[in-house]
Amino acid sequence: MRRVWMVAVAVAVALWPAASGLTAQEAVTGSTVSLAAGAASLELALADGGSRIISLREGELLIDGEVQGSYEPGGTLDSSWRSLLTSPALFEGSGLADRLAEWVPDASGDADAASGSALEALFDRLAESSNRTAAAALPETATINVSGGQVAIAPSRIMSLGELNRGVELLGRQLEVLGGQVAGMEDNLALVVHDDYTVDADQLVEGSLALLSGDLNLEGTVDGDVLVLDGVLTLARSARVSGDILQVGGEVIDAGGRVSGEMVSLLAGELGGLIAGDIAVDLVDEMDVPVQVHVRSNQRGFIGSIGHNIGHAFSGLMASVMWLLALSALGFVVVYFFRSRLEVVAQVVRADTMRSFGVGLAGQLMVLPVLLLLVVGIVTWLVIPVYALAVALAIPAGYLAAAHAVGEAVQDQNFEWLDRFRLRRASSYHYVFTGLLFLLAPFAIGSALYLLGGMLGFVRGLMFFAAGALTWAAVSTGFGAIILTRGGGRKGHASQADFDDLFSAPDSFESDGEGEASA
Amino acid sequence: MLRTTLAAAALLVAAAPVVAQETDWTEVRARRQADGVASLTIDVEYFAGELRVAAADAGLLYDTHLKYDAARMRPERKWSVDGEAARLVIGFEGIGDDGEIDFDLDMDEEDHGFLNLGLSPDVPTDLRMKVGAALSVVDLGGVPLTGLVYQTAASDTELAFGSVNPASMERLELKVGVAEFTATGLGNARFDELEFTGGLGDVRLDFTGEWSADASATIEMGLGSLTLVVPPDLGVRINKKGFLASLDAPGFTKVDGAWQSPGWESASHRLDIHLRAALGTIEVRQAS
Repeated sequence: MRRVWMVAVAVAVALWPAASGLTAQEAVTGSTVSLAAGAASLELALADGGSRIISLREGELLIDGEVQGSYEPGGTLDSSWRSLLTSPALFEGSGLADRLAEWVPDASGDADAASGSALEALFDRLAESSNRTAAAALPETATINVSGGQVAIAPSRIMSLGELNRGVELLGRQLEVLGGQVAGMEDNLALVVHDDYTVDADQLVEGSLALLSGDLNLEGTVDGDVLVLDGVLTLARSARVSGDILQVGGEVIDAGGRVSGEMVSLLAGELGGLIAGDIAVDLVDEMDVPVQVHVRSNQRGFIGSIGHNIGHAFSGLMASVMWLLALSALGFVVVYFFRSRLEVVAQVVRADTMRSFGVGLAGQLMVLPVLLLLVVGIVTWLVIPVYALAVALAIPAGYLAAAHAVGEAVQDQNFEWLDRFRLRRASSYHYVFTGLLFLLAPFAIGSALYLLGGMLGFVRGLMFFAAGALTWAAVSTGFGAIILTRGGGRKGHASQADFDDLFSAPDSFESDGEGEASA
Repeated sequence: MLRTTLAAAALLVAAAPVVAQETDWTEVRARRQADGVASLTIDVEYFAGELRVAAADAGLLYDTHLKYDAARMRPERKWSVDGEAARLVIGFEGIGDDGEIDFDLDMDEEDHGFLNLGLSPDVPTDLRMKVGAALSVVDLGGVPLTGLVYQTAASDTELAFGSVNPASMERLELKVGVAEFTATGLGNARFDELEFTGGLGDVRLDFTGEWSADASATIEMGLGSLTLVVPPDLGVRINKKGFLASLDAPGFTKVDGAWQSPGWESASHRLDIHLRAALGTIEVRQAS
């Protein structure tokens, strides 16, 4: 959604008033002077869109085109009137209506005196009306017409029209970015605040309000939403907001005001970052208004992030090493006491991998039902702990058998590093250690990826997933092989497979005398 | 065969797409004043992350502080008012065609989502929560609850009533899947009826607190351990079903098929527990 904010100046540039009000009826908002040989006219623009035209034309006093009196052309009233209209002081700053009311016409004849009195009475009424309206409206605001209607900019005193235009265009861009979170707000926008400003307790903003920057003290009522892009919004106890308060940047201080809607604060995120950057640059560069945005940051900083990532990587690598050592120690114990059984299971893992995996998978699914069957069937209560113990032992034993098989397969390869690190040994101890090294490597790699921070978070996650899947596959396959071989006691099963070629060690292998795995 | 398996595993790792997952961690705080609302119903669905619930500041109806990955999900808050009764629905929807949310469950990560929910200390609230895989700390002390339903699938939950419920609730319903669940200060909850359903895990229900009326509890437990902590001045009677679950209740005596605490007859307030457990251990301990 691209909203184009068409700004149109409502009144003459030089006569920009400060006493306009959002609900003004007779408030003077601008003026135009016309001087000719036989006529001198003043056109007053009113806040309600209407106008008053006062003319001394060819001997007649005309108000809005109707004859209200007469005067002597070139006489004292004519001279005094023309002198007033050509006085620069009359149009400087605010209070045009007041200065008109202060004017005392110089009228010597009867006709001039009567018309002069009529003008004084008219200007008194206009000043009274303007002052009354200004008192009830927001002071020191300037109004401009935008595509959605009329919007007041406050305060008007420090901004040129060019700055006003840029401010409104900027607000339009931000509303566009905010999208659905402020849907409809731009059509109902009544007041834009860009500097320190107060909405008094007896004032009503008929529509939504946006705070671009500065301190806005809200004591009165906003019949709409409030959008805080930057600056500090203070809700006084007397403040009333009929809609929501949406805070994208800046700060909202609730001193007891009443908000009928929801108060939503975007504390951090892409939108907050955009606001922090975009508005700050735009406002500072274009409007020369100091901006301070309080967006909570979750970043540690560059150095902190590096330290954090190194710590993460180191702890992960250490965990992998500890697991390797612990499982290797367990594996060595198993090899020492149950080598033949472990080798039989490992042979089945290698020779009949898919079948072992399938049986292992089925075995896992059957663990709980079998337990319940034992509980319900109750052959003897002793069966249950024996069964649970068997399952508990089979899982790590299966994993070690799988590691043994992987280690054998690795030893079969022509990996130079095996020789370089003197890991090429045709013994079950080395098979288990090498296999564990391979199975745990993805965990270590995943941990090492922490060094790259968040850049490869997906790859890191995938690596850990692969590591977990590999572990589960190894456990399942080893578990299945244990079932197939009855815990490694059924050697005949392994011999059914034809895997001699795979299993045979190269001639160059060194042997430490621990013996080959039996087939 | 093993060569093929290893090759496939290596391929799986090597073929991992070198694509960094974009995240957009966003924090939003949303709160609403309590003016004009006499009762509130809150439905919360929170799937993954860290969940904390506590009393909000006085004058607020609710106060939510949410951190989420805007690249994956979009939070939803639905607000409706019917007279002086209001309803708030807090949930999420995924970004994408299927609307499913891809969660990051790594709670060790510095950047993980959370929801801090503050509840009105003034307005009676009916709270219903569905929690997926989360770390939950729910302290409902000082919150006037007229009802509570807490369901969780696989969360570690600490539910506490740190002080007496200013309101009272007819029913307190807790449904726990596979989780570690601890509830303390249940005597402060001022419920008439408690229903607890547990699947698998360690559960601790602490009934200490300031009891003001009699109550009943129905507890169904699947597999796992259940610990009941009861105050010494509360009369407790346990009617247990399920012969595979052992009951260890020191000091309790069996009367008419039910286990009664020593002070059952003279207790000013009593808790009648109907307990059904499939398999596991049940311990009853008196609070010191």
